[in-house]
Amino acid sequence: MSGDETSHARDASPAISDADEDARNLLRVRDLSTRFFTEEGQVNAVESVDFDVRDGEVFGIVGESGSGKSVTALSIGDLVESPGRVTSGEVWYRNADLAEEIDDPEAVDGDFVDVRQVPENVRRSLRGPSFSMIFQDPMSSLNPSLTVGEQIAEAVEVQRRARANPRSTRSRTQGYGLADMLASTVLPSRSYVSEESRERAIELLEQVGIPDPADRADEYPHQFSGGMLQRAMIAQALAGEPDLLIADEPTTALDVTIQAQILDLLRDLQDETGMSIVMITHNLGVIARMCDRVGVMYAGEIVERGQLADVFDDPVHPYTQGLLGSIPDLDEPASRLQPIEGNVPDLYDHEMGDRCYFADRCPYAMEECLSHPPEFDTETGKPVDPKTDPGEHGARCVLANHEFRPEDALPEEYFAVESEDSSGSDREAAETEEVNTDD
Amino acid sequence: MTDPLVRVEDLQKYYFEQDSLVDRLLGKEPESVQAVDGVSFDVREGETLGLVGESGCGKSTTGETLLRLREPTDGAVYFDGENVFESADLDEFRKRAQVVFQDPFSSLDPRMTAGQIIREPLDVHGIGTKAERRERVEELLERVGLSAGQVDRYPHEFSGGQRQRVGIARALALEPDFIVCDEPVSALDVSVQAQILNLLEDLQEEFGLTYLFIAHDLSVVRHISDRVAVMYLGEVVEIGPADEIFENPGHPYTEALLESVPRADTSEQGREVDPLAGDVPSPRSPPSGCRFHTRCPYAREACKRESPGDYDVAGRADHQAACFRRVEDHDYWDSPPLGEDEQVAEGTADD
Repeated sequence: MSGDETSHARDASPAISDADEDARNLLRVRDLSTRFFTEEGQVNAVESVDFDVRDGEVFGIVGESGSGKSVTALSIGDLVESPGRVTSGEVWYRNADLAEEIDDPEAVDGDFVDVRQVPENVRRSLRGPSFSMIFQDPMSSLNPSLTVGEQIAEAVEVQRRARANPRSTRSRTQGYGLADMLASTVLPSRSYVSEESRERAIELLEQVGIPDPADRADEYPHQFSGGMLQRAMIAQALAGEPDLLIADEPTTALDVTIQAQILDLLRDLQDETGMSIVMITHNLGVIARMCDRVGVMYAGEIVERGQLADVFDDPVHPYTQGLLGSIPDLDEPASRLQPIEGNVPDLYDHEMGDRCYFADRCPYAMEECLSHPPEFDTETGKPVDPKTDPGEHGARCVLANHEFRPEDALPEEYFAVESEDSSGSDREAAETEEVNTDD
Repeated sequence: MTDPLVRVEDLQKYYFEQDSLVDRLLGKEPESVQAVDGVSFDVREGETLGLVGESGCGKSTTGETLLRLREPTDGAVYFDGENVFESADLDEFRKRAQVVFQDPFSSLDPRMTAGQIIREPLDVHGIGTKAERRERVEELLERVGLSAGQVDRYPHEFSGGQRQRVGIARALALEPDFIVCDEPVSALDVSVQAQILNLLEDLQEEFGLTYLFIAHDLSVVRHISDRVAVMYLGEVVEIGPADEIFENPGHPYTEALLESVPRADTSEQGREVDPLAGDVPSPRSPPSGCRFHTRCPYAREACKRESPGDYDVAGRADHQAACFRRVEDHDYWDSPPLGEDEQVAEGTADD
């Protein structure tokens, strides 16, 4: 946000960077905000999000559509496209070698480098060997006119050439000009992708459990089933041997039996490589199976975070409680579901106001919820600053601080009136229209 | 027991590829995709029958064909004792059987207002006067949890959950007895999904509706259904009371499905899951014998040769599974197990 705040965060960081904490964190995301500037107005897709990803862990981000979880992932990789823009925030990534190379003291903190402050070519060079991403829909993420093997080999080749000169983006295509490209159409030996890369691609396909990898590598994406394609995409993401894999709804498009296979695969790969995974999904079951720690997102914010057991067994935020109460239990079906009333907000800046964003759907909304709550440590009940001292289990809700006070409760119709107003006082409008037009 | 409201007998729906005039002139054999292949079940009055299966198993095609939204290849559907496929006048059937579709975005005409959408069935069947229809529309809107003031809004002005409510109001307009709900909540967020499920339950109670509830989400199906039918590759492999199916599954496929679903519970962390190997074979050339034998952990030679009938599970006449393992003295038990390689080879050859 403001310059003051960011510099404050950096000043404060040596205080918490006792060797322990730093060795455990691979990624520190601080105050990350992403906005979309649309014709209808500014959309605050991600609103000042802070979280850490530790070495070798699976960190889950769970939320409904429009909660900003995918945009958070894209923002980490600096992949947000116009009309969206990451408007503020720091993404500290631990890489001692890189930290030594960067001259800008602003962008370095111990072994950590702020990915958002390094030059574009450095940032690009990190995609692949440092961060890698897999997406929801494998069908639209792969090029339909190239064979699967070719696409993976290309990713391998890019990483291989990049390794020769790690911080330059030019090296990826150096020595390979237009003439070579033209020549490669008649002479296979002149093609961009080398024979070693092809072999490595087949190895990768085998690693992700594709049967007959040598044959399947020559097939096109449409010849693969959805599960196989997702495996191929994972192989591609592994080409650079990343430290961090960001998986954005990796199993949402798949059937449950295939989903189980892919989750198994991700677990095995993590055991093998020791990489960290950020798992983004709306499926609480997937979170429960995969994650060590989890952050619950609502309206662009992380509203509750903690160890899986803290969040699932002992949820504090009414939204987390609502989410868990809305899913039917497979083993012990309840007679009636407890849905969250209302709908997910649109996140238009001018509609958000300064209240708790969940207050309009919250069964425990009180007077004080009309001002935006800080994050509280659920243990001590004291407000914490997630930038400097993220507790183990935090919730952005006053209920973490004190019990619900019925005498302060907002009247039931409080937000109903407000929302009718903000949506163009539709009841009135509809009535006047009724008079005017008789269809 | 009274007669079921809907009886489906040996329903078949094949799609044909390479069936155009040009293909025939070139002498190409039409290739059939056996989307639904011999499905039989009953839906009793006032109950919810859940139809569950993975994508491509033919569950939606079953729903659409039994409403005669698609012409069946073979089989019969009796609605209140009358064969739907043979009756010349479908008006009465169309009034009494309705459908709610999965995607609330594409199943509502973007150029019609909510009021027009809900009123359309009344217009088509010529029910009531203009004023009565308007009144009925407003009543329906309020019944599904919208306000009568939203009658002149267009679909894009509603959220996903509200749109699905409009779709439900449209299905209710003609006071039907039977509604096919084709994945009505799978496009919705969980919090909104719960609202819609509760609404569907309330409406069923209030109007005595009968549902065929098609979904791929097992926990949703268990929650809403009285009985459940599990489909795999165009066939019903297991049918029975919901609690029976989920607590005492009789078919290895049902078992595997239940095993695969990640529970939203901390006990899920580190739960050992042995996922089914391989992919669903193509319905163009389904495997011989039992269609599940290419992925089944218990497959034996007999499964490859012979396709199983419906056998009672645990001696219950209302719970049946198409698996030889439910028959004590079947040849299956004497035949040699299929090797894993054999299974995989066959499974992939079908792609």
